[in-house]
Amino acid sequence: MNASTQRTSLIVGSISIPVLIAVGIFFFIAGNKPADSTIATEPTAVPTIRVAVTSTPVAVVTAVATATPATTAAPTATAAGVATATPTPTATAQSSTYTDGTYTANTSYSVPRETNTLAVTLTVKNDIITAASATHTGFGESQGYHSSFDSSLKGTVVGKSLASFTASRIGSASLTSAAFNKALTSIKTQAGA
Amino acid sequence: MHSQTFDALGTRWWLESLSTEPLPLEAVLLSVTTFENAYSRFKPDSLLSTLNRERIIHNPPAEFCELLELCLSLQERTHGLWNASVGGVLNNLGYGQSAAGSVSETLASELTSSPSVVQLAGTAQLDFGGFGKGYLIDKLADLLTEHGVSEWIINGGGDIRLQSTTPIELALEHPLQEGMSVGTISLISGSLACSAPSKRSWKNDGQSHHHIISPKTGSSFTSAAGSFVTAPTALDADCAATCFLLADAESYKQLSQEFTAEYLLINNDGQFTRSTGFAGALFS
Repeated sequence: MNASTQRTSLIVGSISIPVLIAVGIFFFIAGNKPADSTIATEPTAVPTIRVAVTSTPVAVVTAVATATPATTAAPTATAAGVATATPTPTATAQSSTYTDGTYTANTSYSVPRETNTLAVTLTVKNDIITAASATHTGFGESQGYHSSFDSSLKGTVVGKSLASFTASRIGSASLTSAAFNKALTSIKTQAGA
Repeated sequence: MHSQTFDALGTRWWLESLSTEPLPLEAVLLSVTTFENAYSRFKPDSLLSTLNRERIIHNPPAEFCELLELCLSLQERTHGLWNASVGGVLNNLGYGQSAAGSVSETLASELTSSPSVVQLAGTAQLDFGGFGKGYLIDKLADLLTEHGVSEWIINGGGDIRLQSTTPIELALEHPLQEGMSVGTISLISGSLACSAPSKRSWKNDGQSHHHIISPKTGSSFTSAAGSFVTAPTALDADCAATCFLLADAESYKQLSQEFTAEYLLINNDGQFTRSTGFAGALFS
């Protein structure tokens, strides 16, 4: 984070207020390149879990299972790899779409000069992924992207209408308050607007 | 099923009982009004405003001491990312009526509290805005449970805590596009808190400001558009939601562990970063 400060004068009405304004620049990036990483499934006869580890090589995992976890974010494209999935359900099947349990998919993929391996574990309960983790082995260039993948997933948001939700079921930042509006009015008055 | 809506802490609240038990509305409103009268920075007679002005309070109520101790604890847990003395800075920038103040890094030595007296040395002006709503939500959660309501949803201005036996689907409001959602999240219990600078922003002498102040720079930070955080308690979710907006990416893991939190962050370009454990489903 780079920060530089400058002193400026703020004129509000007839009052002059010296204000120290700090200009901070936050770098809000986890890693040098965005590592598009998603875990997604498709409800087909042979369910697949696509796991993108770096921005180029992508491992495609074929899950051999009676149930697969629910989908989360948008999948990314490309490449191929070799994978096997070993589901190890720890709970008995229920009336939900997917069987509760913990699933692990193992995959390996080739990048120039090396082979990386990845094991993804997902825990499903009541059709919701409640936990996810990834462990990997790899060297060199991929290492930085691996640590990005471990701690965070990235992508672009897509907006859809809120109309179908009741207000009590919407998570949002607080709506502008009466006090806030009062403060705004006061500032406008002081500023002679 | 019963539901109620009311205004508190300057925003709209909703309560839902998901089972047959009715909501103890009178007890809830009493609790909320008492809390607001005691801790609002905008009420000159509140305990908080009095402390900020007089710098001393004798025979403080136990809850006030608890809140002050939480201020210091949260500041320490977040390595100064969260700081109750931003109240003074908000006043500087026009969002408040009391004295000007600056961020204090040494609040732990300036603020002393005991059952007989609370003292605030230095010039810091305190504000509970960064966690007060979460604290009140948790307080109402206890209240509902005490009154026999077994399944409920509390929504305080968009911060939600719930207790259910079946998953409840919540929408995640798009921080950049009004009336839109970026996805949903289903919870059976626990809290979801959301923070965004855009909801309370203003211009002062041609400069844009908003209500989330970075203690490190003493001004409105400028990077992220919004954060969504899930955690067991509303207090932790509320505090973490603010901290994630202010933190560098290197601190995310530590913040997650500290608050048992999962996160979804959205920047001004519509790019998101989410923890692998964040259970939300985003639209694509």
